[in-house]
Parts: sequence; C-alpha cells; structure tokens
Amino acid sequence: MKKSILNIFRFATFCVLLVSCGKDNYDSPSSTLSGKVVYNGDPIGVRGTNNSVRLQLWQDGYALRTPIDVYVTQDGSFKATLFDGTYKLISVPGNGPWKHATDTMEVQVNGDTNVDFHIEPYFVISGTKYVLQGDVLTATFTIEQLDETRDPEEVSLLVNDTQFVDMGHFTARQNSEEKEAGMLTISINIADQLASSSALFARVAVKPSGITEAVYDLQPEKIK
Amino acid sequence: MKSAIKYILILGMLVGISACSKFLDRESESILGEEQVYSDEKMILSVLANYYGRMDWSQNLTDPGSFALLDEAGFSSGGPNNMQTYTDSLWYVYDYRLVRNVNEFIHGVKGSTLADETKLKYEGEARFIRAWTYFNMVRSLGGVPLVGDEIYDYEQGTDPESLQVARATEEETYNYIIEECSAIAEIMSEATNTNSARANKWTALALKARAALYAGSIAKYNYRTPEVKTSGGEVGIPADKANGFFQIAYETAQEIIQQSPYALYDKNEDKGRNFYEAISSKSSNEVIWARDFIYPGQTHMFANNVIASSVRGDIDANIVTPILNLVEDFEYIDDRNGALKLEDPSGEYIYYDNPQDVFANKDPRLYGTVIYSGADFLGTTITYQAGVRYLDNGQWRVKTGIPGAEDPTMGLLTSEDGPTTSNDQFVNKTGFNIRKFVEENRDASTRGRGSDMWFVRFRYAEFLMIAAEAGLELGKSQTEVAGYINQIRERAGISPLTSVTLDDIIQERRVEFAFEDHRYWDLKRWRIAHQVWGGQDTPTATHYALFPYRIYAPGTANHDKWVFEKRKASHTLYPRYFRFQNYYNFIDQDWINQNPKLVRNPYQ
Repeated sequence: MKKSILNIFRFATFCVLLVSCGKDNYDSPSSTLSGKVVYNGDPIGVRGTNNSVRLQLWQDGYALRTPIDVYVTQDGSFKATLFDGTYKLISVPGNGPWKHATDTMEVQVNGDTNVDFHIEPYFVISGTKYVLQGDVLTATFTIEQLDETRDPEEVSLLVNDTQFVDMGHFTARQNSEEKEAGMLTISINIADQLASSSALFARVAVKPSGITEAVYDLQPEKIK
Repeated sequence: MKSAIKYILILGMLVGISACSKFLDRESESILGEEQVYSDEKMILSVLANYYGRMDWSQNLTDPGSFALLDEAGFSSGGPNNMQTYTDSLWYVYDYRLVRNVNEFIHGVKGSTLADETKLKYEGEARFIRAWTYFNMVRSLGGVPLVGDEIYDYEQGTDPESLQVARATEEETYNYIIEECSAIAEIMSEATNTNSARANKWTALALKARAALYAGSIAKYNYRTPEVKTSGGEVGIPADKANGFFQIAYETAQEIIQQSPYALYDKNEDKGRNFYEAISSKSSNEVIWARDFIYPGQTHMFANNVIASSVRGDIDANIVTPILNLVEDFEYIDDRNGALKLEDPSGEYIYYDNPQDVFANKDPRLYGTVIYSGADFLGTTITYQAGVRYLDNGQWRVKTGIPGAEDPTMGLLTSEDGPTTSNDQFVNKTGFNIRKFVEENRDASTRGRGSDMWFVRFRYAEFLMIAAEAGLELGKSQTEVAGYINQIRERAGISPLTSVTLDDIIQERRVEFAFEDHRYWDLKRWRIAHQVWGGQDTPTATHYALFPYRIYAPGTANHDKWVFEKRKASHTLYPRYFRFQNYYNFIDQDWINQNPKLVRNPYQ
C-alpha cells in the first residue's frame, strides 16, 4: 500500500515536469528576404568573405532598435531569414564600393520576398575575358568610372585555388600599372600555381581610393 | 485554565511585537557613509587605489595578447593565429561608471572636513583620472558625452531624456581634456611619488601635451581619410585647428622638459642595459607616470607569458614573441637602414662566427627591448637555433628537431629556445623574446607569484619627442627640432640627425616606444594605419621571423658558423589589415539603446 502511494506521487511529479504553458515559445522566423545589389539592373560583384560588405535592416515600432546586418556575397546577392513585417533596408556609409544613398528602401516582407537593392557603384567592370596561354594568364576588361571623385587606387588580377577569390584570398596577384578607366589588360605568370593547385579561379578587381572594398567582376572564372 | 494560557500567550506575543528602541534605524557597522570615507585620508587613498586599478586599457601588462596584434610581436604558442581584421570594438573605452565614481569622489571630498589644501590635492588627482578616462575614450571612439562634475540621479518620474547627453565633437572633447589638465596642474603637487604610481602636476601636463598632439595631428592629417568623419564633428577635427593644438603641445612639452624633476635616464655605461633600466627598473628617474604593481597582491602574468624557454620559471613561455619587423626597424649605430645583413648581393648566405654577430652595431635600444640570439637574460645566454644546415653530396640541407633535440653526429639540432614552425605550446616561433617590461627575477615568471613590473604610461623621452614633432609641425628651426630628437638618440647611443622629417619622427617613436601602447594610436592619428597595415602581403603588414641555423660542414671554412633566414612568421596567418572603419570603434548598439542621442561612427 505504502509503496503504491509513493509510486503515484512519483508519477505525478514526473507528469508535472512534462507540462509547460508554452508562453515563451515563439515560432522561429520563416520568411526569407533575398535579393541582389544592382546597378542598371546588373548585379555588382564584391568581396564575399570575412563579412566584408553588408547592408542593414531596421524595423520601426520597437523600443530597442538594433540593426540586422545582411552580408552581401561574392555575386552581389544577399539573403536573410526574418519575421514578416516592414523593414528598412539601407547601405552602410563607406562600407561597400558604392556611393552611400541616404534614401531608405522600405521592404515589405511577407513570405519569401525578393528585392533588388539599387546602388551607384564607383566603377563597373564589364566584358572580362581570360586567356591562359602556357603559364601566362591574361585578363582583358573594361572599367567604367561612374564617379569623378574616386579614382582607381588598385586594379588587380587575382588568382586563388578556391572559388572564393578576393583581395584577402588569393595565391597570385598582379596589379596593373595603368590605373585609368577604359580597356585594361593584365598578365600574370602562374606557373607555380598551375603546378601546385588542382583547380584555379581568376577574378579582376578595382579598388576605389579611400574605400576599403573593391568592385569585382561578377563570377570568378575557372581557369583550371 | 485553558483560556488563561491563551491570554498569556497573546500577551507574550504583543510584548514581542512592541518595541521602542529604534532597532531598524541603527547606523550600519559595516557600511561607511560618505562623510566617514572622505574625512579620513587613509580611506580616500583606498578609494583612489581602486580607481587607479580600473584603468588597464588597450596595450597593457595584464593582457599580454594585446602586444601581438600590431607589428611589434606575434602569437607564438600553440596553433597559428588566424586574426584577419581588427574588430570594431578593439580597445574601446566607454567607462561612465568610472566617470561617475570620480564625480562622487570629488563631491565627497569637497564636502568633507579636510583642510582646503588637502581637498584640492585629492580633487586634482581625481580629475586627472577622469581626464585620462576621457582621453582613452576619445582616442578610441571620437567625441563622447561630456558630463562635467554632475552626478546624475534617477527618481521615479524623472524624464529619462534629461539623463541622455549627446556626444561632444572630437575637438570639444580634446579641448575639455586640455582645459581640465591646465586647471588641475595648478592645484596638484609638484613632488614625485613612490614608483611614479600617482598623478601629480607633471602627469597632468603630460596628458595635456599628449592630448594636444593627438588632436593636432588628427586635425592636420584627417584629410587623408576624407570618409572618416561625421557631419556633426563627433569624428574629425577641422584642419585650421591644427596649429593651435600643436602650439599647446609644444609649450607644454617645453614646460615638462625645462621644469620637471624628471630627466633622461643615463646612469649605466652599457647603453643597452641603460635603456632597459630606463623603462623596466623602478629606480628610473625618467618615468612620470606608471601603472604600478606590487607583490604580494597586485601582480600580472606578463613575464610568465612572454619569457624565453631556457629562463622560464614555470611551464608557460613564448606566448607572445617579437617579430623581425620590429628588430629590423632598429637602426645601426651609424646606418639608418636597420635591415639585417643576411645575404650577400649574389643571394648567398653571409656566414657569421657567433649568433650575435649579425646584430653587431645595432641600436643599443634593441638590446633593451628584445632578446635576440646571443643576448643574455638572467645571466643565461639565450641562443636561438632553428636547425642545422649540413652538406649532403654538395647540396645544402636542413635538419631540425623538437626543441633541445640532439643528433649523434651534428650535435644540438634545435635550441630549447626554438624557433620552430610546429604547433607546440610554449615554443618560440619567431626567433626573439621580449625584454622590455620583463622582470629580471625568475620567480616573476611563475604562475603562483606573477610579476610586479610596472607599465610605463608617461616618461620624459616622450616629451622630447612631442616637442620635436610639434616643433616640426609649427615650422620651428631644424636645429631646434633635431636637438630634441638627438638627446634621445645620444642617450640611446646612435648617431645624431642633422635634419628631421615626420618620417624620422615616426621611425624614432616606433623603436623608442615599442610595447608602450603608442604604436597603434600613433598610426591612427597620423592617418597612415590603413597604409602600413594594408591587409596585403607587404613588408609592413606581414609578420616576419628570423630563423638562425648552425652550419655543420666539418673540414670547410664555414663549419660551426651561423646563417640567418628571414621568413614569413608561420603563426601569423594573415597580414595585418586595418580598414578605414578601424580608425574609430563602433558605438555599441547597447549604448545607443540606452542613449538614443548617440550618433553612430563612420562605416557603422
């Protein structure tokens, strides 16, 4: 008898542990906001590693205002998982290789939402062609300068052994002597890299003076 | 009968509840009131001691890792360090708790029963601590809210907006620090004190001169970083203010040079030892203000962390070790290019008889700052040996081992002191150890005891350098400017300069003040940090190590000689990368949430 009462108590205690009232359980955010940074409808390539280039999302109506950083990847796209609601999407002054626009973009997130974030980059790289002849890689491309206040500080051809190629991640790099807008050609001897790496990717970049980040061509080219 | 008992009980309870002694209104016997504290000088001192202990910011001895982030030293122990960029919160200070405590202190001292003269002395000391706090805030964050002497109170119903103070401009903040220092220099003691641990008139003037120099160079050079400013002036100082600030720096430095009881320490014939003693010996008459430590009670683990293996007192060693970049920036006695002579023009190694010969005729300050191969520490000669180079069928090969490993024919392969490229803990990876601020006492490197070496914040040499730099910026004569620098170079034991440019000043400060928490702030105020630490594989951003090899080639002329290899430091994976956004730390979102009037910093 005594034992069964004890067991009832044990069972009751166990049951109490299972009960919860659910007040503190929110669903996790399920909507995604995705998009690209674009100029004239074309995405702009940036450095995609090291949390380098970012946009910020703000939401009004709450007591504490903390921005959500949205990092831009190599091909100019970005993605964030959010709650439904109205957000403000802005660029961070001086962060990306583009002019900071004071205009705020309002984004209505409802389910999966896709937006283009329009920016005015300092440069646009177009028509990049890579030619590998023997050990010498040659890149030909056109730089269009969109802002007279920012001259190109560095124009580089970068080679890396993964498809993440940027000014922080490369195994070979050649800076152009010429730093003018227009058609440019850069050549680099990559005999060592060809010998030691099983895959190689190339990319060109223009860094505006006074800005940390550079404009890159959109997709690294697989050259091996 | 039963009811009688009930009444007796009720009566007893009532008596128990009634009380007329004011039991709850007693004075506490364990908490001291404001009046009690501030009317007793011993109490005041212990309150001040608490404040002095709360100012270990940026590079300091309680955080040995802070010395490995720049281009003076790197991490050596364990696996490679993969730091890629400087964080947005590196070394920022936003300590309004301390500012408030100081204001409470000032209020308390003013209302105490002490003599007026004594009151002023303590008030000055507290205001200096507050000014130093503001200085540490402004150099990391730019302009910050200035709250003066006010002690803010919150009561129910207070409009929180009255507690939220907006940021002052960077210029106003520097001006506030300068004005505070001018005012308190008038009321503070001129006398020196034990181990230069406490503020006096000269520390106030020292802070004034340094703050003015920082503000002046920001005003003059922030054109180099046009994006690094805010529209409200919280970051950035107008260029036309530069000369005013330089003038203050120049005059204040003169006052310290001419009137203070401090001087360049020059008591030891041996110039290298002399430089070590000038900074790392508490008998130095050069030090104006230091963060003092004392055993037992107040010690740090700096010696424990950075000591060389063969002289360590415990298992720990080599966690942070100097890099070749710093060593090569020390000039030769008569040659301004300090690069070590490792190879002849044909690319062939130069063979040296002794490991220390490659450092012959280097600036003696190198000895006082860094332990290099063949130098002594604690009576032991420390020899770094990465491996043995030997001839194998006419081909040079290298054989290395774990630290201390011997080969039956070739003898010692790798020195107990390294360097190696392994991922072993507490093994040297760069070929040098730090000497500056390392106590010459084996017990100081044990975990149990720790070191009570002081950390120098102001010393006389800095004011010669400030007089020189401010003088140069103001266009004083080259003879005068060179005169200040040459006092330092003469004391160091190297050839004097005839003309001086800003580059010479950058170079001199780099070697004179290595490991003294100057480099980072200097490069920031000159706005050249983003070039020196550009994140690319350049000679200034990449860390280098020096690997000495002993030659094993019996029967040849080079047997038992030494060659030295300059190589990229294996344990600093990425070049130092200082981005524009690192010129000023980000304002924490947390602070903004509490005070929405705070303006964000650039790039934030």
